[in-house]
Amino acid sequence: METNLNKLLARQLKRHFGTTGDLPEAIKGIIKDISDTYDSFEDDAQMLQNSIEISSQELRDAFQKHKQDAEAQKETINKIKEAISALDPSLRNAKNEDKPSSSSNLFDSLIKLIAERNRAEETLNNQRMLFRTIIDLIPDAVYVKDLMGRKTLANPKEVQFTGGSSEADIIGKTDFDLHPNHAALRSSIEDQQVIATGTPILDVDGTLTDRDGKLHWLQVSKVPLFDMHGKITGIVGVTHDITERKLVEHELLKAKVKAEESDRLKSAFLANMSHEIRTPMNGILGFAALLKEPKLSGEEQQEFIRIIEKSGIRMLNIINDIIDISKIESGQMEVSLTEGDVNEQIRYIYSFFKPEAENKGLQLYITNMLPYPGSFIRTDHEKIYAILTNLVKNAIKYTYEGSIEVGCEKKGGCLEFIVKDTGIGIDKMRQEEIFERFMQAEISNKQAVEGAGLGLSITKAYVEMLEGKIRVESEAGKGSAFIFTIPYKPATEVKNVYLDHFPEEGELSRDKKLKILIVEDDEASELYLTRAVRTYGKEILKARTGTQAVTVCLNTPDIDLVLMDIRLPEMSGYEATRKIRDFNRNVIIIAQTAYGLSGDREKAIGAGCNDYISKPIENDVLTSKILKYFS
Amino acid sequence: MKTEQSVFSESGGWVNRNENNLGNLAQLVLLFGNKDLLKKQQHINTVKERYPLAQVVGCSTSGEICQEEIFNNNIISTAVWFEKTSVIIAEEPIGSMENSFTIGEKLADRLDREKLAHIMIFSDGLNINGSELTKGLNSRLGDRIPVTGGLAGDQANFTETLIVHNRAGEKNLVLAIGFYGENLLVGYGSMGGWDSFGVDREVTRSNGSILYELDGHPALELYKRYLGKHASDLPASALLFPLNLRLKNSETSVVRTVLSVNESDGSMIFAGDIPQGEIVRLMKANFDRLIDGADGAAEMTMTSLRNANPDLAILISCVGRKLVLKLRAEEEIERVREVLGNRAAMTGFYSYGEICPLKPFDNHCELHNQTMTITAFKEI
Repeated sequence: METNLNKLLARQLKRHFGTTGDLPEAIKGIIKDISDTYDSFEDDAQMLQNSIEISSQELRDAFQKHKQDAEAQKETINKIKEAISALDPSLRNAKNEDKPSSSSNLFDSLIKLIAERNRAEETLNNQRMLFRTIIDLIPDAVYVKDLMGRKTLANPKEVQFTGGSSEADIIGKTDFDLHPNHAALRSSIEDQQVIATGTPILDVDGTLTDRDGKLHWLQVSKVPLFDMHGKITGIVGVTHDITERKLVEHELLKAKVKAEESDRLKSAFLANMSHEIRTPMNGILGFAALLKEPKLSGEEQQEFIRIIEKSGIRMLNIINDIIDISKIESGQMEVSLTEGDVNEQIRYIYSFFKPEAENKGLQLYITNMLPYPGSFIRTDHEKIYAILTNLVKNAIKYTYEGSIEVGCEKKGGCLEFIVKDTGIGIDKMRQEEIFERFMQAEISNKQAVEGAGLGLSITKAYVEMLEGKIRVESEAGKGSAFIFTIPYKPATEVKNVYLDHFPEEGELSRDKKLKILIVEDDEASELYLTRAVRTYGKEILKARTGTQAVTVCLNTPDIDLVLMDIRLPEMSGYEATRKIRDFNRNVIIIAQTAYGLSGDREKAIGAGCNDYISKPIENDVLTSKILKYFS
Repeated sequence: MKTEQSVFSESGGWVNRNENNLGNLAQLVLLFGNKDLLKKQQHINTVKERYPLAQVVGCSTSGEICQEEIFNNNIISTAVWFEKTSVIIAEEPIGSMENSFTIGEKLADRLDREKLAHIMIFSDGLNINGSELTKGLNSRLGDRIPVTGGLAGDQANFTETLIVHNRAGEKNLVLAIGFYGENLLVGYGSMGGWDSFGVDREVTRSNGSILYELDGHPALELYKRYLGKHASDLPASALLFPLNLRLKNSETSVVRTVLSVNESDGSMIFAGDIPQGEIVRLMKANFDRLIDGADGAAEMTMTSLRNANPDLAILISCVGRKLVLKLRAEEEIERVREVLGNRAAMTGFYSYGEICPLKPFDNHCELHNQTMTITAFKEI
């Protein structure tokens, strides 16, 4: 038991009792409890001590760690402070005053700096947006390249030039990636020059064929791009597309040449006109003066009159042409569509020119005509007449031997008319010119024949008004073929509208001589008409006004024919005709209308006339009209 | 209300501590005793024969309390006759640690709420997560019914704890005793008296009630350093250094004690949660403060009883206190007696965990460690 006793208790027992071994049994239990308690307290005390030591060590460690952390934090804060001082001048001042900035100052500065930075960033972003908006809005191509020639920025126009669909397609690419080699090479040489010299290239003209093969004229400017330190970091280029301007320039130049040409032609034309008009005028006035001489033989007189007549016709032709061309030029020439038979027209032309051709020893043939009823078409038949007349007239004029053919064929959706001769032909070089206005006036060709040179240009204008085309196939010395086409538009109705143009063979028999009323206020015209119808008339009556015409008709019910002028004093020819029709439905009334005004024919027929004839009245036309009603 | 007590010892058998005549009147018999004794059905039978109509409930202990005395290796029987109160008992087996919460829910659901005045819990002391159990109870009771109780002990062996419910003690069982009636006053109080010391330590790795690391170091290492030569007595010696756990977003803190240690991974299993990220501090005993703690718990009990002296008090005190106080352990019982008065029959046990609200009149129960927890009854 002694060995198990607490040492302190054992000593105490020994001191008090001298021994620990012989304690009374009765107290052994309590001694044991006391010993345990001593042990327990010692044990607890030791553990407490141990705990305090460990805990103290932990606290020291914690303190050291905290101190180190604090030092590290202090250092960090100082570094932050230094960094902020470098950025924020107000803090730098504070440092100079050697006042330690509190962390709250530090945070205020940080917040301020961050706010400034945010503002700066916002401003920068706004500037970027502005810059980008402007760049993108510029109609010229704008780009930036780095020193290696790689694109770092491209606006939409530049993207379009390179054939890309977005900026991303061309960023990082060089001209060699984007353009044909030669163009890229030239551009890169320019770039290198700008980079090497630091000198801009301004407004240099160039061309570029884009991906679609379209040629662009360009005005190229390139400037070096400097950074803040004055170092060149690339180039900025602006390419101005001047293609439109170039085209306009080109057009203007052409127009100028044409205007000059036209001016020259008109001058030449005027000179020629003067000559052309003066020549027949000389003939007329000259021979009219000669006619005054008393001792002329009948033969001489006839010769002079023939010359005067010929000169008059020539002048009339010239004037007619001038009027036509004026109408065409001023846009007054209208297209009047009617339905009719082109075969009839060809036959009429043939009949009309046959005598003239034969007089010149030429054969006139009809080659082709359209099969019935296909020949009935809708077009401006008067213009067809005019065209054919002009072409056949020309053919006769420029043909000295051989033949002239006229015909018409349906080709596809078109009608093709051909007038072919074996005449002098036209040089290849001139084949296009001949359709140009006043061209003959220009040509100092020995073979040029009298005429204002307006006929073919009028013809061409007519063909075009009928939505057709005209061309010539010719070889100098062998002959010419004038071919024109018009759209084929079949008539809705088949009727012989133009039958009236068909001249009957033969003359009126003597016993069928007519009683004719000439209504005409112009003396010269009246004399001419009187002369022209003399051979058909047994009695020729005259009236100067519409009223007179009506009166004469009332008093003379057996009048066969009235040649009714339309422009009359007091009462117009239409009005007079209407009044005459009130009491005489049988008399043939032919209106003499002003030259070529569209609608005249309709008005005349509407007023009650049987037919009409355009002024100036040609003898042949008048004859055929008379024969039509009275043969 | 009337009570009578007797004590069983292997040497002396059953010895009545006062007049025993409740017999058929007793509705409830509280049986706290040595684990090995409670395993024997004969002892239970003896009690049942004496109180045929009573529910016999209790648990194994780390020390039994009978009046002002502490017993070891005995059985304390306290028979109770309530004049105006009835008792209903719910029992729930423990499947695994993970469903402690569910057990709490189920127990709460098993007790009809009508006229339910109080619930006492007796639970297996090792195979339960006491924190989860109380959370489960709270979740169903909605802080309307106060809950007190404790976790069974087995001296300081941490090997096996038993619950008694009308038959020989079994492990893996939880009892909920429902007290019904409008004439029952139940007072409760809980206090530790441990001192936190040393540095704050962060729970850097834990899982439920398993603590792996504090401040990045194995928790077991820290304990061994502090325990010195007592490290060989782990896990019992760890009771000398409970952990003060500061509850998140709360000014209050709870005490956690170690139930077992795992040498292989250096982890320690506590009686309740040690959530990761929380701050803990080591605690150490101070005899006077521990005794003062018991006094405080008794004062709190009296407050919740509105200073009416109780007829019965069940004291559940942590085994850690007993290990520290050793021969002075009875002092804390005496202090309780002084406060509660002489009327009260006192019984109870040293436990592996205590359950009690933190404040008087607060019905939200918490798991505690290292406290004196008192539940006192009075019929009016």
